[in-house]
Amino acid sequence: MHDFSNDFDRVTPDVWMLNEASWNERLVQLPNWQKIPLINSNTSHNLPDGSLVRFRGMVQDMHNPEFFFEQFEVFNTVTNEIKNKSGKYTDTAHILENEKINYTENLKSAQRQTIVVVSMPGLNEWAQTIEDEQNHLEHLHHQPNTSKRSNLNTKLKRSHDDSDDDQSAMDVENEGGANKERRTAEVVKNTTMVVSREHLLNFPLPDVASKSCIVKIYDDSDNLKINDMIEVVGFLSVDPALSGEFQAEKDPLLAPECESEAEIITHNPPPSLVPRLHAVYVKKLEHCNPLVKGAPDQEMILKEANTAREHLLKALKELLLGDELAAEYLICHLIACVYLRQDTFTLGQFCLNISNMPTKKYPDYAKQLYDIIKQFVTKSYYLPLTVDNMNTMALLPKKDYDCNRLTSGILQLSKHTHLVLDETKMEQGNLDASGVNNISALGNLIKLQKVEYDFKYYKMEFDSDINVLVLSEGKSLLPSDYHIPLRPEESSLQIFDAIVEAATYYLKEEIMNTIRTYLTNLKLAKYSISENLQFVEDDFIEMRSNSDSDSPVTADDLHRLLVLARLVSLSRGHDTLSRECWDLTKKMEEERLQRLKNRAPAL
Amino acid sequence: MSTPSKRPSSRASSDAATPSRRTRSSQQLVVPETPQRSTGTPSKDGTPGTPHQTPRTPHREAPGTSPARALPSSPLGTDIDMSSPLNYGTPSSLSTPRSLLRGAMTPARQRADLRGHQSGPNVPAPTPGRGAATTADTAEPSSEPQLVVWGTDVAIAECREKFMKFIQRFIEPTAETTEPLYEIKLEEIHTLEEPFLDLDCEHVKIFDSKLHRQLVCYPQEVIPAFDAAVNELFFDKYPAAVLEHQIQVRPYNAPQRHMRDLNPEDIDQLVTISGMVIRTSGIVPEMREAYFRCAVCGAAAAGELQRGRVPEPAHCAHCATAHSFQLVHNRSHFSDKQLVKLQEAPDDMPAGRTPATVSVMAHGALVERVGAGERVAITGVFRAAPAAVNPRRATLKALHRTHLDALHYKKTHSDRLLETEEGKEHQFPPERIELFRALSSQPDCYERLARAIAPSIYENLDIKKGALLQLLGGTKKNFNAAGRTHFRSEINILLCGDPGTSKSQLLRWVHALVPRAQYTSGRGSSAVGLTAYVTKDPDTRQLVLQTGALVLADNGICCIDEFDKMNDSTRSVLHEVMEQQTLSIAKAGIICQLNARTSILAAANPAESQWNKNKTIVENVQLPHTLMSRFDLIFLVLDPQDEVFDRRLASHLVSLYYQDPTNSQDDEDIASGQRARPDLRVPAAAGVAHPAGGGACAHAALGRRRDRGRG
Repeated sequence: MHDFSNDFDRVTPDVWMLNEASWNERLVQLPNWQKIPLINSNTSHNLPDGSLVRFRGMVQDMHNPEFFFEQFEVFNTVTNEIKNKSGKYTDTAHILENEKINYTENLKSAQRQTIVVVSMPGLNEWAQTIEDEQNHLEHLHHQPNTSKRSNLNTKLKRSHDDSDDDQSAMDVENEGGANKERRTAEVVKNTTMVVSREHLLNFPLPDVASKSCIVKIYDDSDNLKINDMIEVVGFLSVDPALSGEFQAEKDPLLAPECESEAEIITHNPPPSLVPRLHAVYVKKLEHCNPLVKGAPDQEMILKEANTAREHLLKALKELLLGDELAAEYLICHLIACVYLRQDTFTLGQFCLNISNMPTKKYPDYAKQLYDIIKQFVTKSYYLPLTVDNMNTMALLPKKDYDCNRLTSGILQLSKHTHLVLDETKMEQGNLDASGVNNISALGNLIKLQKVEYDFKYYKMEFDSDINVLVLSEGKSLLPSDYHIPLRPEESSLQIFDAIVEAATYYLKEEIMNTIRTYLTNLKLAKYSISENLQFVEDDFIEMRSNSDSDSPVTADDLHRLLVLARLVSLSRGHDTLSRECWDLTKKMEEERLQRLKNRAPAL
Repeated sequence: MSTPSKRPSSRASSDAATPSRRTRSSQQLVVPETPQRSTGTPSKDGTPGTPHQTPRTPHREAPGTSPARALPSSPLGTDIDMSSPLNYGTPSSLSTPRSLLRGAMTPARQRADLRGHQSGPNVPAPTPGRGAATTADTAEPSSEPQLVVWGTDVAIAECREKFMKFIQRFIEPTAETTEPLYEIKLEEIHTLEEPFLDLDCEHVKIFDSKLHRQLVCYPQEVIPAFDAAVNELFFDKYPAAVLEHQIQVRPYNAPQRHMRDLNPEDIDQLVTISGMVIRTSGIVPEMREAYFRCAVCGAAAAGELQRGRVPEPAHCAHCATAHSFQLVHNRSHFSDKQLVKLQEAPDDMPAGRTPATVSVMAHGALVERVGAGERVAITGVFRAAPAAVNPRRATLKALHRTHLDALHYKKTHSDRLLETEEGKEHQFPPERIELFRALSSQPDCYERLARAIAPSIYENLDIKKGALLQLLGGTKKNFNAAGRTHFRSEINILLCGDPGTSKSQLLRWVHALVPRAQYTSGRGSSAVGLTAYVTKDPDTRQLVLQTGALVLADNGICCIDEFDKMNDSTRSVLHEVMEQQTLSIAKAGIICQLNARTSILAAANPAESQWNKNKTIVENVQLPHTLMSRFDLIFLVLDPQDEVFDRRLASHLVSLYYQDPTNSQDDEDIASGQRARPDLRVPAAAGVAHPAGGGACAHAALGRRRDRGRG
């Protein structure tokens, strides 16, 4: 094992560049990644400028590539020395007072990509806590701040204070300095531009604490896509001079800016708030569950699946007021993900609509249900479908040409995020144009798993993989792949509050962790079906001949069955479709369709 | 018109405060000058209209020729009689009168677009041949013509000669006339009095590939030489001509670069990039030359723009007072400048990434030529300058800011599916045509292609054949002479049948394939949504026409799902579109007719939502006859409900699930399919755009799809 303290926490860009290949190799083989400070869990102001750090998040936007000086000469006017320097892995040219950069000769330019990475949207509290525990580095808090310059800077102080507080205190509305804050929409040109921290962080989800980083990527980054989950290892750059507020003043008449003021401010946020990271290594993540480590072991996963499933089923059944069928569907929903896209087909999506929520008795039932679900899944977001929300919220990401960046919307989520839509909160009211747009955006997401990004002059569809769960009283106004009316047991209905309590008690940390691991692993598990599925074909033919003209059995029904069968098999730890699972699946669907036909009276 | 003196080399001062300087300038040489050019040099001396006799005022040395000129002072000096009333207000007062009598009335004008080095310090381009360049005596401007510009292999005089030959001799290979193309263009300039010559770089390439390479690599040096050559020829030909200013050459069709691929090697080179204009700034009056007056004695002095600043003369030469000068705004000279932001067009974007943008600086006549939302191909010089240098700070960003100095805009018409040159048919690359040929020679070509349509949809080969025919379209026949308009070439298709027979899927597939396709659902559409509606523009507060789906699908396909759910008033707007292929609008003071040459692919359920075998087709479909007659192909998509069919359908569907998503080979397959996609669109589009000739192409494209499906 490497002696970590002597290596990676001391390395500087200059040292790194001397022998890039070997450093990279050592980094990849490094056994204790978590010793490299993770900015998600350690505040960046405790870290010195130019140290090696990690950041985990989702690619939110990509800026234009930058041209930087890969090599340049520095001339010292006092000693007449000429030094060679490199601008790689750094934002600023560290030169002394009496040194000059030679812009004319031996200047080598190169290109680097700039991407904006935000911390995982919707990452649930438990995941964050575990990650913090794993990655928190105590010694950093005792370390004196090495970037002294930033302490001297009073302008930046406020943002430093903020990050000193815990993340929970980030809610801007409660801050005294709210008068200085401006909402994104009000980015006006003013003598001193002040924009809100939400504007700078540009996080998809409102009212959620977040961090973001501007990552500069040096080697070919063509495989990175927007909304990818990545982990970056790189050199931290927090020189306060990078902030857009400190741009040299220019006479706009003589030198028209290439960028508007709003753009400069947005693209150069204070580094205390949005640190820069010069990536030496970028890793794409398949999941961000801190409990799941290393390559998934297919056999292990399948073997352990049943125990976890039983725990989960027990808990969900109670929470769904004794409705086992709904609980089964919910489990399938929780492990579903898009696994194949072909032409216009998207296979594997599993939007579940649970209707008949007992809202009369428990108006907050949906929310309570979500509170439990979020304990299981790694990333989720709860969106009450109120008329107000629909009319005012920005669901779709939109290109802001004033600031030249992609302004995030709620639907800009990384894959395998669970979106819970609470339709029980909908009340009477009028949807305005943006409300209608938002509803149709949700509909598109559910039907096609595509989110349309608004680039003003045209729209672009980006593939997404978001599991949508709709909780409603009647049948949802949004489309859904599977619709199941809840059939609560009278006895459970009476004691729901007690059930919640019991469930919380039952779901000890240990069991929870089993379930969490189970849910993440099954999404990654491989599944295949043999080429010879005579029984499926036979059943389909039989179903078709038995169907009546009112509810004909169509190709879509078979698709539904096959997707469900896949999830039923997987959830029980089979990686291929067997006769039993198929029969089970058929039974589930039959029961569900039966329920749809004779709806239970609303509660 | 840029003269050698306007090159950065002219300001060869080593100003210590501003650390930036272009390499070439420090060593300087150059300059075989042409007659015009030598006069066009520094000179603010001399008023317009008084032709200034040739070379130059002896006491002033052309800055461009002085390597050792270390003072950062204005190159203009102070000995200029700018207060002359003749000078005041004349738009051309900056310019130098031409030395030769012919064309004397045409002033030279500095080219703002090639002056990049003045507004900001520039970065040395990584030019390969820099070291090999000769050094030469620079004191003698009239020295040997074989000298090359330092850092390049460009010999100005040679360039000029070659270009003159090019103008006099170049005949387009495909042209029918034997008259040199650019001689004709000079004649046009003479007639229209528009002093710009658009130059196709490809023509230069055909004529002389070395000259083309020089043009691309050293536009800064070569284009002024071209300017000189053109002017000489022009005024030889039309000695009496008077133009607003001297002719400027505007090259276009330079090597195409993708916005994403612009890299440091392209700095200071001529590139063409295409994209969509997303923002234009206001017009910035850029001070070309400042007019100063001494507050004490009233003596005047001029200062020229240097690196974005106008240096104020420190001493008055007349009365020797220090810091006595005041700027007189309305006697200074300004030129227009505008910042245009260009963004990657959606078709060029790699999947899953956000579009890149490039800043473009437009100067002079190119200002306000494009508006937001337009698609253009811009030819210009790619520039880079060190970013935001803050002298008060020891640290600075080791970064370049890049922009493009525009020389030429070419609008790519969005109403055309393919970029065709004016009057020319789109040409496919030969290997593609070869592919088409090979495919068309196959006996089962039609079946193959039809089967390649929406492979995930089971069977229904006839419908797919119909969709294929619609994609290709027919031939537009014009009968204007015979007294009626034309026969439409677009085929309209109606799919009518039981629910769940993948009608919508076919619609989606077609929508995804064709570039200008629109997808609407009958239930959600209104008549205005399909045609056009009038809104108030939030910026201009004027009524503007917003076009709807049918107009947007002009030259494409409009897919309408749930056709039966559409209400009658909405459906009635389709009558005109489907036969006349136009859309007439009379609302809110706007009366117009829009083109809507779109094919309609509609899907409907039968009136009783399930096909009733006991009724006739017309009773089942329940659409007005007028509308029915406008559909060329009507397909009944019925559920046969027999066991053999069911079994085949079942095995087809199950086969979709065989694929293991983590199987790397499939991933690759899907990925390559994605890459092939933009490739596919072009021929398919051609099929729609040029129904006559495009057939084979679309065939080929679809054939390739099929091959992929197999492999």
